[in-house]
Amino acid sequence: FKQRYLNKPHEINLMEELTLKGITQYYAFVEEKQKVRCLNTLFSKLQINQSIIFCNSTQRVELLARTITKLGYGCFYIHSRMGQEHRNRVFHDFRNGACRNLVCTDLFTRGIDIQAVNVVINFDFPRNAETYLHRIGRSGRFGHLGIAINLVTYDDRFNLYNIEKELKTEIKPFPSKAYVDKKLYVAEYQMVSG
Amino acid sequence: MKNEECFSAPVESFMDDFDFGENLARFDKAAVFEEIDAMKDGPPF
Repeated sequence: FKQRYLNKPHEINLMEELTLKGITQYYAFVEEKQKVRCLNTLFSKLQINQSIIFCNSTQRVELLARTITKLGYGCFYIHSRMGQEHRNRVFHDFRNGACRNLVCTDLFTRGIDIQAVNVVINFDFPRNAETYLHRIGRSGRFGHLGIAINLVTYDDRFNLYNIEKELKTEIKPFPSKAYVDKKLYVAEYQMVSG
Repeated sequence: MKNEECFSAPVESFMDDFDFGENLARFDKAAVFEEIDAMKDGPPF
């Protein structure tokens, strides 16, 4: 494992291990100034077990975490400018369920392997397919159902186009009226349906 | 600049429900993608 980790040329292989299978991907079209309101609505409408929310910069992670707290939701945050030890502790606590939401930059190089995370939100849409896959994709072993919601602005249209093409996937419009079928991401409903 | 746009409004203004349908109507993904496809053949002039 260490060898693979240290050996940069194997990065492509890591990418192939990640899959979007089981993840239903949506986009919501927003303006920058609507993003927080959109996120707040998602928090109130979705049945979130645990969520991870990605931003494109450390500054935005901090700003968003502060705003989410003001909105009355609990959240942790981690980004690359925090010490590794501090980061590890926060992530460990999140994994143990100490908090429902985690706001972060792109720190995960192997995809998210936390079963309890059923919703991933790209508050900022990523700039390339590899980043998208690392944020949303699951490694086969941990593959399970979940939803990913991308907040897309007009400026993101080229990235949206490229990422869909490159990953041969479809990111659907967020169902505005009916909202999301719970079978797609809530564990209890998956069991009920057999 | 982008950060200001995104985070500077008062928290109360974030409380109203966001209208997904109304916003999606402002972005015709298929049409935008067609436009991008067309651009690959070079600009139309």
